[in-house]
Amino acid sequence: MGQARRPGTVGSVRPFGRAFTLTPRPSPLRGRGVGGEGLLLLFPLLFLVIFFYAPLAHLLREGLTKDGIFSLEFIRRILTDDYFQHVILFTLWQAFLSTLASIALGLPLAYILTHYDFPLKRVIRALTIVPFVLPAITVALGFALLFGRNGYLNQFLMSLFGLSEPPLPIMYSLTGIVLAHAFYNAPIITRTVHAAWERLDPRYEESARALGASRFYVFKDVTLPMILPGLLSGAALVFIFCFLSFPIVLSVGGGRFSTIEVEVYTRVVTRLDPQFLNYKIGAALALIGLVLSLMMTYIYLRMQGSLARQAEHVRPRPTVPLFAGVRDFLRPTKLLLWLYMLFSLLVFVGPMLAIVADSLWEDTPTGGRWTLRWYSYIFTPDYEALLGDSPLRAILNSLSFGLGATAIAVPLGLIFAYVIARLRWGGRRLFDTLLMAPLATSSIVLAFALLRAFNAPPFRLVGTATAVIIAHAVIIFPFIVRALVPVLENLDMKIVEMARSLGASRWRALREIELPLVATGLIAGAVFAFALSLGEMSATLMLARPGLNTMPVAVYRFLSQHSLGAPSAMSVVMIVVSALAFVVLERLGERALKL
Amino acid sequence: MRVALRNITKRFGTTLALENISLEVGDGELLALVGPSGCGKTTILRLIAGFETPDAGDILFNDQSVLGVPPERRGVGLVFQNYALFPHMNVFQNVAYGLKFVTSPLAPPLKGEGVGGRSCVQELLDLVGLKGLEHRMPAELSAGQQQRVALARALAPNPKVLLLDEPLSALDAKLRERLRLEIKKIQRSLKITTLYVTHDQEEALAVADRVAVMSVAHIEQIGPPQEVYHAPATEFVARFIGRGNLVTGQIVGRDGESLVISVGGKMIRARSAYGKLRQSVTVLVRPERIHINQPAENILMGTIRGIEFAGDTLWVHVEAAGTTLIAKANALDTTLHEGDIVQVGFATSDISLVPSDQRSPPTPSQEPSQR
Amino acid sequence: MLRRAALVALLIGSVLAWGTAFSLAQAGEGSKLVVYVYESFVAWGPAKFIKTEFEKRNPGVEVEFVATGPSRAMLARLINELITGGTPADIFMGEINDVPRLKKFGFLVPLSEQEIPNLKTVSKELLLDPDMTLIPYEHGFITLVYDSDKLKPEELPTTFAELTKSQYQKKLIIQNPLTSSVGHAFLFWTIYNYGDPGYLDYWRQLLPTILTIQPGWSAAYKLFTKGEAPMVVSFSTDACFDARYKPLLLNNQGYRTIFGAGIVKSTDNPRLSRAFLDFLLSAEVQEKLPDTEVMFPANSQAKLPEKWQTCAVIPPSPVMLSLDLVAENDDRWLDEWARLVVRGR
Repeated sequence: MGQARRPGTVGSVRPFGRAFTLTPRPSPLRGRGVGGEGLLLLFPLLFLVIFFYAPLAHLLREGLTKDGIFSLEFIRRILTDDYFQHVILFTLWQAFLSTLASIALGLPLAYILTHYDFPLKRVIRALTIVPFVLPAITVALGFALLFGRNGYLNQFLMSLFGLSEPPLPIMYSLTGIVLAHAFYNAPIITRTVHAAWERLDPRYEESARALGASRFYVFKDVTLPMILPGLLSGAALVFIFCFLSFPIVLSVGGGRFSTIEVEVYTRVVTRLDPQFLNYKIGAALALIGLVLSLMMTYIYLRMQGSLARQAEHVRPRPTVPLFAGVRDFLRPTKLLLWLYMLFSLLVFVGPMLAIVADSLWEDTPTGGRWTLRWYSYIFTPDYEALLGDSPLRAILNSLSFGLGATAIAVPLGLIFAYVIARLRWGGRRLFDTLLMAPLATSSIVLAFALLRAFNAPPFRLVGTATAVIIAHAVIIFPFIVRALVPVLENLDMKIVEMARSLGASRWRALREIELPLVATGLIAGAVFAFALSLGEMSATLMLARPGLNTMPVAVYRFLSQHSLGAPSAMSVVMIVVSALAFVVLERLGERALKL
Repeated sequence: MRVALRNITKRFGTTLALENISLEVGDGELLALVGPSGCGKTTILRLIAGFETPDAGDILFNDQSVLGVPPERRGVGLVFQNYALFPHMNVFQNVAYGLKFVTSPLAPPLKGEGVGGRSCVQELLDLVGLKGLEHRMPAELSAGQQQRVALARALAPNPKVLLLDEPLSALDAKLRERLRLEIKKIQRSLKITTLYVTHDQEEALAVADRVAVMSVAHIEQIGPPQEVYHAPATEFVARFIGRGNLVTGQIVGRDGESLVISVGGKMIRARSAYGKLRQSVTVLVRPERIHINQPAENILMGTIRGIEFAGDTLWVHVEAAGTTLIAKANALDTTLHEGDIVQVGFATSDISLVPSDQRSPPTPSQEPSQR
Repeated sequence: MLRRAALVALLIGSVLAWGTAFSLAQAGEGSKLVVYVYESFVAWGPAKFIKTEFEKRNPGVEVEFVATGPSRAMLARLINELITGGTPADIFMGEINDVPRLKKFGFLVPLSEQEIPNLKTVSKELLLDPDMTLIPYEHGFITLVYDSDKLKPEELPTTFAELTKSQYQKKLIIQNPLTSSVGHAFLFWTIYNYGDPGYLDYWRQLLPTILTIQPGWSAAYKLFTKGEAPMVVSFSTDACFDARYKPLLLNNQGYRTIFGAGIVKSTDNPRLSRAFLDFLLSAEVQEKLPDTEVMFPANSQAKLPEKWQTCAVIPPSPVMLSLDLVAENDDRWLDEWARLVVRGR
């Protein structure tokens, strides 16, 4: 992290000496550090309680009551019904497979990023995270365009081999779900493993090789165990996201698969009966899901903890050029690498390219032609009944909601991260886990809880931009916390003590020493959070009214229209905006976004 | 096992790390490779281990090129400065790790009872004095113990060559002195060809059969410790090895077997067969060869500018002939005081002429030996 | 310290205030009519026309269509809002099979010809709800629709039984009855033919034929026209939109589907809402329906486009389950269907 890059604030000792040593300014709250920090914590906690815990508890409570009194009946009904057992097991199973697939796809990329040098490496590394922030609807669209029975890939293979039936039944199957989840989450594995691997001293591996271990054994015995905390923490996070995944299971899975979240959605949202039986079962199921994902969050945070302990400062690992002549190009290990890259290009870049191609294509009775009309359509400020406003408005809304949500989430995340990093209390990890609960709650449950809360006094906010902004802030702030905690933990407290010994108040030390030092981490978290907000759909769809569309919502709307070009064009805009955000982030010098 | 480097050149990007280096380590010999940091000594070690490939030249083990042989089949033992003990394995597992890859009957594990032999590990742990610590994790060991484990681990598969990269730099001075003797003892008893990389010239002199002194990308001199110390081949070596007084002067005449050299206007005599009239030369006098207030062949008058107390020794800084000379004196000598005007004297045979460097390498940073 | 804490609070507060101001600015002045409708009505249907014309006739009134999903998702949204604290909706537009559920909650206002003069133009056979809570404005027949470029007439199944043949494996796209009224109707159609619980056996055999179950008609029809499968559950009138996609009558039947509009009890604009419903039934709007919604207008006097004489197919035997039967069994059927589909047995 950019230590002491701002000599004016950090490096120079003079202001402290002058202002504080010579003319000490008594502060009424000096020496009451803990109490002061406690007070500061009050507002973010209040915000979370009002806009997250209380609505969520209100929803989940339904699953634990019968006729107004506490009852485990619905929980018991779920756990004893073999259909729900099937759903719960399938949820875990598909999350497990998806995590494996994400590792299989993400690990080699982490290896390539760690060991090789190639043109535009920084930009490519920045762009690897883009899939993660895309809305599910865009991913589903890209997958359908590329992998559908009549998609580009199957069409290509059919014409290549003269087949009459599509050879790759990827869509509408578990394979499709797993692949789409891998598309989403492999970047997380890549990021976390890359970060751990880069910090791994190459001399461990060299020692093993000198002892006679082949590359395979070196990886198995030395590298893997040592990057394992990074891998496991990434895997735990991926598992949580796949466990909670909802639109992908529905759209890519083709409606034949049900997970806990799908079941909660249909019971709580779409299958209301006057007796509220489905509602209560759905709430109970949501509770079971939340408990499971919170357990995984706890594991994730533990892994993060051991990762932080293991962190060593070493010289950057040496890299070698990826492209080193023709003979090297044809080496068997390199051939394997090219094969992997081809496959990952297909899975990562393919769906996005398919969307781009589709956004530039127009079907005509005689075939089709290239066109820019979809772009001119989405950039017009004309009213569109489908959206209740102009498509351009949706783009602007996305940006302003994203900024608003980030503006709330940054102070929120900063304060929580600070407290977690400084907390030496035994229940710290539990507190951390509870704070991360929004991350462990599916956006559909969260959105529905907020819909209910915002539809009743005192916060009648349904349909307002505020509701959307609050929902986004709740969803994205955990990522800011996660980006900041490691930075704050690695911050040498001696620097702060030094500042204080020079006469700076606790506050001044915080503002002038700690904050500038974590600035890059903060920016990284903020940009990432902003991009996540751009991609959020479930909650926005539920809370926003026409005229308050965002880009993903507009994509969703356009998809229900006959013309396919508009949703693709809107998706391309979204991909470009988030890609730009990450490239700018990379330029700012922040590359190790902690997750 | 003899190890030889033939005309090795290695570049990293545009920087030249090694230029046309040739080096030979004899069977069972301990060669210390010493030089300032960044001079390329670790690169030589990594080339021998097989982690780097030379851009030009050859590396031979017993006259056989090993250039195509991957590190794991070169049969080298390796100890790094930070030891790189596998943190997820205990002491026993660390030491035994290399044994699981010993499959060739031609290279049986050290006195072992077969592959992965427990007794072999035990013997090694005995050898390095770590008996009873088999089940400790690396993090639970002191730095010195970690160093011993690293050594035992490197020795376990019975390597033909032992490569030590700054093996003692992470330790405190006392421990370092003890361990370097132990390493030498173990090396002797196993008769293993060893390359010992260090930046500490004192350590190099103490431990090595022969010392190779490196400046950036070049080997300046290879020879037994005494030779390197007393007869440095270059000014660089003279500055880098030991504490010395290097004084520039001009040859003004010849007197039998001695040259007459003018240093700061004073004439001194040095024994040397070479040297042209009016040639600039650098003269080396070791501090222990300088005698204060005693009769000698060469006498200069000077003023004491400072006295360092170092236990059994006094280091006396004397300003004379326009330069500052350091002399070593007995600590029991109480007659010396700052500001005293004294005679500094040295024998003609104690003066070495150092050829001026053709290249002008950056002045080596005389790193303190205590770190 | 207090000052800084206050600062943070102020920052968060001002963002929230800005957001609220942002929404209020959006809301604007004047009275507003909020219509909850399924997404295809705004995507394809005459929503834009209705909004413009109705606003022209009622100055100062703003019509807002809320169409965040397929019809049954909109129904769920309405109910959820009503049970938690109220809905902004004045009007709900949906399918007749949801009338029983809506009635159980009692959220819609019963209507009469006195209140909606144009109601008298509606064909009597469409008025299945005696309380008139959901006034029919269009109707049609659920059938299969096939891609005539992909399937030749002799390759087509003619009965439900033939549809389960292995040659049709993965050739059909359907809608989820939990979220889509079209899917809902298709489920009822199978129950009509195979009875309860016989329909479950039929679905067991039908599963291999189904390529995917989409949340709504829009998504399903899009995949169909993108060439993902040659058959989809849709309407008998689809050929009027694109002659390539022709209706396919199983068992010579079509399942009648009726879409209607009702007034939400909590509305603040009962007069305006009634005017809206009346306008919906006016010939002006009704005659727009065939071309945009590709459905038959409910107004029996509305003129059909010329080509509808040939392209619009009326099945020889239109079928429908009684709403009483639906009221009694709907929840159980949906539950049984969902369990069957997810587990495949």
